[in-house]
Amino acid sequence: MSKKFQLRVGIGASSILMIILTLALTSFAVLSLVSAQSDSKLTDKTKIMMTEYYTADEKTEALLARIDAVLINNADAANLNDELGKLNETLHTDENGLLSFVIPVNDNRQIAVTIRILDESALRYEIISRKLESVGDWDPETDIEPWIK
Amino acid sequence: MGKNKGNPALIELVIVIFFFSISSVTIVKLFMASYDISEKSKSETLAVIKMQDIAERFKAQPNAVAGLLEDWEKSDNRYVGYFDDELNMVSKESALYIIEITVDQQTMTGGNYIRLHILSYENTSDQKIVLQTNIACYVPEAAS
Amino acid sequence: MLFGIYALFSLILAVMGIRVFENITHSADSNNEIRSSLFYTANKIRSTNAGSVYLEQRDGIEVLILETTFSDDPYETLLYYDNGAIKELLMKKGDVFSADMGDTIIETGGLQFSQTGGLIHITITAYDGKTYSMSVYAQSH
Repeated sequence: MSKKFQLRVGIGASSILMIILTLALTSFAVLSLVSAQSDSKLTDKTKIMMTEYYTADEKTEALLARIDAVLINNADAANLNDELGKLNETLHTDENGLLSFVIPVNDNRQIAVTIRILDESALRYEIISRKLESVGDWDPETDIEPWIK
Repeated sequence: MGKNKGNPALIELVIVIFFFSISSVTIVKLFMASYDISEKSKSETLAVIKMQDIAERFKAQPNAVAGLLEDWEKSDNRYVGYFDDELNMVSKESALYIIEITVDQQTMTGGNYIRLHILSYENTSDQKIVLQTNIACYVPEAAS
Repeated sequence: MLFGIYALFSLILAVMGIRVFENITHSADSNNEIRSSLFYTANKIRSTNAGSVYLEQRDGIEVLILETTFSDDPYETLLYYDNGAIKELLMKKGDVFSADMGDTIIETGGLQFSQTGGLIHITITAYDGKTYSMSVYAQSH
């Protein structure tokens, strides 16, 4: 009598396969969610940075408008510096006679503007420099020993 | 008459499939949530890029807002644009995002102060705001 | 045989799960690529004085040049696309430029610059082949 070869699956094989499959799919699902949320947070940060920058830019434009108004209304040089000083606490004249001020964007950055007041010109001022710059000093770590072979 | 014994492996398979179908509900929900968040994040990034592009073009030519937004719906000093998930301009009915730009111009002592209020929101019943900001430009005028 | 069918469908499900995971992470990567490329370049332009930003051809590549000064010496920051990546190079003005000298900022499918007046137009090509553009105003007024 010939014996038929029968392949029998033991009890527990289905359960093990199900457990492995569920673990794998759950891991992928959780990793996808973490990845998507991380990307979403970066997008939110980008939105905040954009809003902060343009808010500071708006303040810069408003200050330029007020400076222009002061320049029009105050031909007298002595009075001019007093009136300009009232507009913004960072507004100051440097040794070259250029007017500078900063508008903070956030804790780390600011918009720095330098303008030249024009004497003989239809326009009252000329913007020499306007840029976004970092605030605070860069403090390099000097006590880390490089690995030397 | 012999008893008809059930196959235990088959019964186990049925139970396993039952439990897997329950757990798969949670797994599918997680995948769907991940996909939604990812797609929304991409659309919001594109919205930020679009708004920044408009803002910078406005700053380059502050007196040419009408030309910058000539394809947009205009009413008084308000411009409305309808966009899909890739921030391409589409019709109002198929829009996923709406961007509204309100132009405000003030005459100051030395020139014009032009301000755009840009508001971007989802075209849904709750109109969730994606981003809103003001862009301003002072255009000094030459003294006569 | 029933167990065989069950095993086969389990495998198909696992592969589907992997595919969905891949799609979502690719989407996040693409988003990061777009965001990093455009906003990094835009912030670089904003951090430079008006009049010190211009485009030039160097070593056969279109380069965005941002001039700056350190200790009264003129330096240039060069932003360009080479070999599948956006690269940045800080060098002294007048030094010889070679495309392989720069540091990789981010890998992307392509980067192009163009200029109309004071507006610098930045266009990146993501790895999915789509292009995304943004303008930055590089002049004060």
